[in-house]
Amino acid sequence: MEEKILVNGVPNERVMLIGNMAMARGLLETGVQFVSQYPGTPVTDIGTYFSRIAKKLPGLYFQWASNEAASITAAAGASWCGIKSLTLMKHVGMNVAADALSVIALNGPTSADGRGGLLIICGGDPGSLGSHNEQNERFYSWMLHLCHFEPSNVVEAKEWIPAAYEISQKFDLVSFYRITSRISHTVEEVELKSLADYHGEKGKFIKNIPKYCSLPPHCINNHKRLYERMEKVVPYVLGFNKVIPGDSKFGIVTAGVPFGYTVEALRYLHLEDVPILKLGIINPIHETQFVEFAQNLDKILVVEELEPFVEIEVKRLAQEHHISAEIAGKKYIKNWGELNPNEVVTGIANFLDIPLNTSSFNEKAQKYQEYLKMVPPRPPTFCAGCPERALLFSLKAATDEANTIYAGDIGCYVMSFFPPLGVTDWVICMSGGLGAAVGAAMKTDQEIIALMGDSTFYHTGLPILVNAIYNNANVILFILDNSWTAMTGGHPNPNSGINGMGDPTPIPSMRDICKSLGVPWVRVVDPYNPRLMTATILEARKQQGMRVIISQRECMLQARKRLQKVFTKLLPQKWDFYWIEPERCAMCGTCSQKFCCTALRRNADYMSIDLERCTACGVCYEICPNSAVIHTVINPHLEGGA
Amino acid sequence: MRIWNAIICGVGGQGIMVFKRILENAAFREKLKGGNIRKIIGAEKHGLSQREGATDVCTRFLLLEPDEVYDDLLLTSALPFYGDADLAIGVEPVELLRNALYLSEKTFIILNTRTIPPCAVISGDMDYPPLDTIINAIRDISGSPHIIALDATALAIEQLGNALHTNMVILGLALATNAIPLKLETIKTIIEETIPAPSDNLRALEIGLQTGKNLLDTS
Repeated sequence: MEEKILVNGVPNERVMLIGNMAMARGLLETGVQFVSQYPGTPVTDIGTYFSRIAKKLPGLYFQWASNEAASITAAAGASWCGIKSLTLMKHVGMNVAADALSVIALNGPTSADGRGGLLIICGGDPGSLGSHNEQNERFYSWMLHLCHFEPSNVVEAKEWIPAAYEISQKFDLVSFYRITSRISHTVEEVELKSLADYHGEKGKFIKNIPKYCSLPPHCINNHKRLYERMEKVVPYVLGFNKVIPGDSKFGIVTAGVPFGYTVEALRYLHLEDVPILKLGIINPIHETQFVEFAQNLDKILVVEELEPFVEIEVKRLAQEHHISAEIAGKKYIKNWGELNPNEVVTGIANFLDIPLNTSSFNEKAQKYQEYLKMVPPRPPTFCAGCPERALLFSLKAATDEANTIYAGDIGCYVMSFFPPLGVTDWVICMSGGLGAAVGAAMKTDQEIIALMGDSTFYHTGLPILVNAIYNNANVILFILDNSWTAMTGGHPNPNSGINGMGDPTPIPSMRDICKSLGVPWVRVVDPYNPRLMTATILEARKQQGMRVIISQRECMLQARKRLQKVFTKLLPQKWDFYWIEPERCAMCGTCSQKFCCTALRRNADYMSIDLERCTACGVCYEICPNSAVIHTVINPHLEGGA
Repeated sequence: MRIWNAIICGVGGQGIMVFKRILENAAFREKLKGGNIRKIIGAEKHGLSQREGATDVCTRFLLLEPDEVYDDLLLTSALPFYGDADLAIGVEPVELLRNALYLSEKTFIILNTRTIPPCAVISGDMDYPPLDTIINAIRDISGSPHIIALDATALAIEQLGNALHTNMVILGLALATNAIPLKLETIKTIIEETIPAPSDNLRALEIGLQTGKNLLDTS
């Protein structure tokens, strides 16, 4: 699929594409040659596509970076050699990349002779549709002077990429594409254009100490130069902004996805004569254009998601230019969660004092809320056969929940806080769990257990572990080693043995790393063996200081993807399976409440296993205190077996 | 001018994305052939909702009469208004109830009655509500008289030996209600072109279609 569209898609063809794929095609039409990314929803797929096609186009390089700081500096390095470079990250990735980005933006991303160019595609996630937090990363562009594009739909997201590179190259600025889940995961019709020429030419770095070495006086000169560079972009901004004219004295300023909600909300309210200033570039904001738009209006509403970025900017401009219109934004448009057309209707109506006939909807909403009480929640959970679920079972069994702090982290295991497992006490950010555990360990006598995935370990976990050892923290750290960045859908990391180009790589020994850092007590245990895991945890609890248990078992989905290809050819589908003898099941709750595998089914007086969902990990067989789970292996050599 | 909205709800892994894309690709094919569908926007959910969590997708078509002038601004939002779904499909019963704010009197509702118990039900902390209760709740919230509730999964298993064909049976049921502004032939073509093992899926579609017609005749 990727190759068909991205590599072989015919110019001028019109196709329905999901936002991420449309942007990937736009990048190839622009001639991007270096792409680096740490996976993160909503933009993960773009990296996945590049990983699959990287070897199809000469000179195209893709890297799964170990974290966003590594990713953005790698992209800057390639751009400094004159290569059009891209880095992608989710909103919180910006926090990790920001340290490096602050200097890259200052120095400028191009080569000393004006080649290259750097684009960041940052996936915001209002409503936290696939994230552990909600933040407004738009303010980075204000702080670091990034040329900030905000496409409102898939077509613009694809079409504006060449210009983003043109501006980056021409003015030595970092271009910042801030999209949201609603663009990444929205399908629309786009037109394909010709791919750029890929013939694998090399870049060249040209030395220039004042540009690349950020120390006084160069850093101050570059800061001053950055203001001048940003100033030059202003005339270009008009090409991305759009004024939809109207005779009303009430106008709207908006940008990005909320524009689509706004247009439909205005039609819903029969306010089709309301002028709209739709910003395509929100940093820098085009001063004259806004002033012209605003000077004859009485009221202006700014429609945007999360914190007021545009609102603050236009209020500043209005004050400087003595605009008399009443300007409002967050007073009427909520500043958390995702917007939708209904929210925008309500916001506009409240601002304009338009009475909305909401009684029938309110009645419906009330009924809905009432019925919702009987709907069981369905948060995301561990897959059937997930090694992390198995570890959590043993962890609960072998620790004193009331007197233990469980420091959670980002990865599949973050889902352990959902009931009925409920074994996470805090979630901060990548490696923040262990980080906070170190501090807590100094000031409490409670037992502290920290969880960390292998991808997190190589992302930011190593320096935090060093800090824990250096300061002699009294913590048991579990490294959940499932070989992949599983949460995002099974992406390779330094622990996977394969990289973004599909080339084999050495797998570091996590045990040796911990040992060499000075952890005195390290064990490697298979979580599918709950008895051994439980015994190991009990042993760990008898020790003091920093202890590490590496819970090692490949992600079930990844293992099956690879093994099934072989096994389904050789063996009948259900040659090795588990089932529950109803007479032996005592409904004790061990499997259903403490393990809670999604392949289990609750019947009136016994549990059963849904063979369609069961992956035969065997953990329920191991933990059942009544020996009610039966393991059956059919000899495939028997007649009818295969 | 008319905007047609469909929402499809289910559990991560039930293939609602594929379902939606069949509708979209068929609509796009008709658009290219000069039909009255002029613009299509579909919204998907990826990420956390894949892990057996609740998930929902929607797709929106802009339809114009021949004398109406196309404007790109006639359809701009990927999300519909509450109550504005013309077609609502629940591949899993409580998941449709979870999205019931999108339903209204005009909504054609197809409910697959095959349940998937979430963790809270497996653990015994909550009961899965009885089907009658779910259907009554959906009827009460929406006020819609057009509700088909049927175990499409059982049909797929009985007739085709594979639960994977559930969604095609449901699509057939939906087509029987004439609630989808697409030609049957276009949908068949798209299934042939884009879905692996199209012949079984086309049979599933036909089974759904016939079952739907029979249901409508007898009601």
